[in-house]
Amino acid sequence: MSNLRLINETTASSISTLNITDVFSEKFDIYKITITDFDLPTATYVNFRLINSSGSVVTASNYDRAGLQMNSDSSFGEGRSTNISYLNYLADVGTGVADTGGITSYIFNPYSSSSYTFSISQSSSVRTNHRSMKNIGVLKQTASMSGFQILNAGNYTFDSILVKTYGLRVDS
Amino acid sequence: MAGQLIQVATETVTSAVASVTLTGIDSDDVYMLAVSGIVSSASINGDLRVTTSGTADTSANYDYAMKGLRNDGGAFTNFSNTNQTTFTTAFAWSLFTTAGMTGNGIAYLYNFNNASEYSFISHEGVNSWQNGILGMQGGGVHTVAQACDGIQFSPSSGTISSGTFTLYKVV
Repeated sequence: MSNLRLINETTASSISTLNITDVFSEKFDIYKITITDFDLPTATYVNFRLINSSGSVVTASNYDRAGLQMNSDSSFGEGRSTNISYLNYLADVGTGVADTGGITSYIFNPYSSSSYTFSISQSSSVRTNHRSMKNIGVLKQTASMSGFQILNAGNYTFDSILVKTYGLRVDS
Repeated sequence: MAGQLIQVATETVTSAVASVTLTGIDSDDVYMLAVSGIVSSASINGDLRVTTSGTADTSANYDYAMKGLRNDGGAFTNFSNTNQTTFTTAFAWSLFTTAGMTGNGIAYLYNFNNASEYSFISHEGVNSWQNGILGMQGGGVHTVAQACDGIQFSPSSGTISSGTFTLYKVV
């Protein structure tokens, strides 16, 4: 049996935010999240927040992020943010159904109450031309997290979205 | 099904150690090293070395090239070097000792078992330090054609007191 365990698979449509709850637990330290089919009516950025163990979306300005945006038609960009209320720029996506590509993220220690929650993500999408993003992020809270929220910069409605959450099982 | 992970070895650090060695690479498959929750006794970089017969190879044959992402206002940093004694800054780049600040990351290991090929690594990491968040993305090569059976992590100084290190085979 694979040590990469599928915990949750969610398909949604006609929503502006998607909450994936009760996926982080003491069973795993590292999680892999794939996000695909995120069709949007307007070009925008896909963002990310965590949900704490009480079920509340963490909106406090405790997130830091750094990212490298690689563009097929223009120069590369370095992005950085400190003390923001979400992890931004997971993907830069246009409006075509064929534009969405995908996002793969690893989340570290979300359930731990002694470590910050860290993330590494990469994406490939089209916004007029190709966009690749490499991001790192942190929620600077030593609190237990149980899930996460997918949102976008313009609060537009996702026509569709597919999110899969895996845990990396460690057998002692 | 392709893309499955089969656990080969794991170690969870619960008291101070100077290094962690994981062995068990015995096929030409790709292997993945997953690391979470590194806590150090001092500000450190993370060092990785290949192992032969379970012993770290400290010869000056490590080449690497990496991009360091950061949010502290400085430009992203290019790291490159040849003929070093370790792959440096893996999973921990100036990792700080403040509570909550841990080192984490994922690495892929290529050709380790093949005695006629160099051993390659690609990795991505993330950690906090005093001025924000840091993360190294890149890879390296150990330019010796030899069979390697594992990987060793060690802090650049001092010890680590926490962290989980797991080696998987990707099948």
